Amino acid sequence: MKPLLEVENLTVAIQRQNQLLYPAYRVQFEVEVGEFVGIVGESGSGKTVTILSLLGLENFYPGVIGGQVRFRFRDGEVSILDRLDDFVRFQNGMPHKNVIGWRRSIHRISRNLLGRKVAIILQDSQKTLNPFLKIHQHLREMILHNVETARQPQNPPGRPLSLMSFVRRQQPAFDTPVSPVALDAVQEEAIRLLRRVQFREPMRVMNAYPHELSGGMCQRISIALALATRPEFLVLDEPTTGLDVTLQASLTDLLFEIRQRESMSGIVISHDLPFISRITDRVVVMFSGEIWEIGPVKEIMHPEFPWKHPYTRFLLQSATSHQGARNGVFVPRLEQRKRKGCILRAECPLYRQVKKAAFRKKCDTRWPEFFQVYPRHHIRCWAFENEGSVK
Amino acid sequence: MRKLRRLKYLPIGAFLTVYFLLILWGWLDIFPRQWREVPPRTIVSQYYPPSVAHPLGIFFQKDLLISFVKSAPSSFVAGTITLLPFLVFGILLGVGSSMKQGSLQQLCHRLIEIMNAFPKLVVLLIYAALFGVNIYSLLILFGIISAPKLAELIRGKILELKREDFIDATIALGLPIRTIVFKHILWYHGRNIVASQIFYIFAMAVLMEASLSYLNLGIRYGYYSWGLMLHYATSVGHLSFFRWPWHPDFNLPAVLPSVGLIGLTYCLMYISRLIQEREMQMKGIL
Ligand code: SF4
Repeated sequence: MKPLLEVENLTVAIQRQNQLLYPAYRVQFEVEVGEFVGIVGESGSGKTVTILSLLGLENFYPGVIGGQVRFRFRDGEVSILDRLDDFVRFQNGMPHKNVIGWRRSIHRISRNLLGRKVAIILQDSQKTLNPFLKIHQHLREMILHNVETARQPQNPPGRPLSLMSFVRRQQPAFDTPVSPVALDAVQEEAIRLLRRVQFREPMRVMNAYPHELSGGMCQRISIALALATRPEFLVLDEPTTGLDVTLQASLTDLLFEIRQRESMSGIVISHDLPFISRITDRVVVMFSGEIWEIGPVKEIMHPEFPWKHPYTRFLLQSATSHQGARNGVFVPRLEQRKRKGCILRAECPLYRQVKKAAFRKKCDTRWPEFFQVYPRHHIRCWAFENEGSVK
Repeated sequence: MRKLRRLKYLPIGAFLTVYFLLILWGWLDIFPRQWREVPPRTIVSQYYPPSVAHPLGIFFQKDLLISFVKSAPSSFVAGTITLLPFLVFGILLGVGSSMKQGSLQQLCHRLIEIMNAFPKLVVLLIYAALFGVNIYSLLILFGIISAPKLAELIRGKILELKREDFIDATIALGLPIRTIVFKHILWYHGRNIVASQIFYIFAMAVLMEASLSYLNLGIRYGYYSWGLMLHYATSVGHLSFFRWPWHPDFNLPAVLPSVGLIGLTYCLMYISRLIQEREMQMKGIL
């Protein structure tokens, strides 16, 4: 069976004066149907940029400059970056992008995805809910929007809309008057959604403003809003950030239960490794805009599993103690990408400890490649060139 | 103390009530018959001091109180006519100029700059010189050229809220951009701005109508307007002066509309300021 999401060589760039920085560089992974993939890495490693870019939501210059993103939903395939070449041209190695044209083009495609097939839950839900709207207004808006979009035909990707079809499909900015019968149905659906995210007294929550609810409750409301769109693909951007430990645990249980019951696929970005290990099937380890390891969560998170990238080891160590960070095992910077060889070698324990290792020469001279160490488990490191050579 | 604070709203409330009663009275056009009966026109009989039959006297063959009351609806109509183009252009320019980089955004920016560059009264005078005097079209033009003030405030609001997480979340959940702009930003967060600007432009339009009528570019002879009353008061020289009992130079036709205009504009501007203050309080600035 073909994967639901396929990301190939996704490259995202930011121009700072005459320098080009790559917050995501040749990112490549896939998400199978019914699978959740976790993306872990330190702040600034390119997790969020990758996710925003593959949904056409990034807003910096030049943004996405290469790659392909393909969603295979139940009712058809959507390629996000098909027309990218029409808008990007390279001159002396520097990309020049027609950002206005590109945004117009990508907006047309992402509009068909967001709120229809794909839902995103952002971190810090207390801020992601409109402070002027009561909870029932949030839910009502999403439910009615969902009904409205379900009625509309989708844009044929890449084909410009005719003026008449554009005018015909314009929705009013404000909710159109809804009959009392339909309103009852909306309220019922809202209550069902709130019960779905484990609110025992939905009516009390419905009449509250976001500031009257706790962070955990707001996060559950955000999940309810995402579920209102009945998505096939869910993106969770650090959903447990800012919550205390008990709330994190209950939210993890809730998401796990929803995941199991709705048989959704998705991507989870988080620093919270226990959360990732509970909720996902596979993990992508990112650093400095690149993927360094990708494999099943059980293998990557298992402390005894022998084949692990040095950076993954560091991440796991940092999660349990602050030793890794304090000892300065890794303090790599983006500029190091320009140098020859692996950017991690200055801080890499494998490189430093095993002085006579044959791979050291390659570490010095060549950018590491991916090697398969186990079925569906790949590591970008010269030390794993001969599978399992280093334990 | 709180009682005292509440008392400051009393004069404003009272003045606005009187103003709206005047509008109603002027529209209903119900006056005692003796007020309407003016002596036949002679060079001497055009100006009469207050009497029992004419409480404020007669001026230019018209009862002064009737003129004052019937002028109130003119100011209201002037405000209303100005309001619509002001809101439509202000909101469209504000939304257009806060869009992502593009030709439409650039066009809106340039329009705002150009409109801000010219003094409003001069533009109105040039228009009147080119296309003739029509108070309605002049007020519509005044509404349009005042729109940049609203547009700039709306633009600021949209740009400020664009960075908020809840706007990102609504985009991520797939809500259409116009719902986000018009409902989430303008209606829920920007309506205070729009409301305060409505009172502001209303006051400005009343003043503008009076100014244009005073310059004889507004409401024509035979109709009623506070600006026209001012025009009469000054244009007929010594004849317009009543010999008021306690001051020989007291000019009632000038004082009456001036008090009305000052009171009305002050009330509307004060309400506009109150709304702005409340919004700043909600933001925690005040
Ligand atoms: S390629 Fe070499 S330097 Fe880089 S992580 Fe692997 S062992 Fe360390």
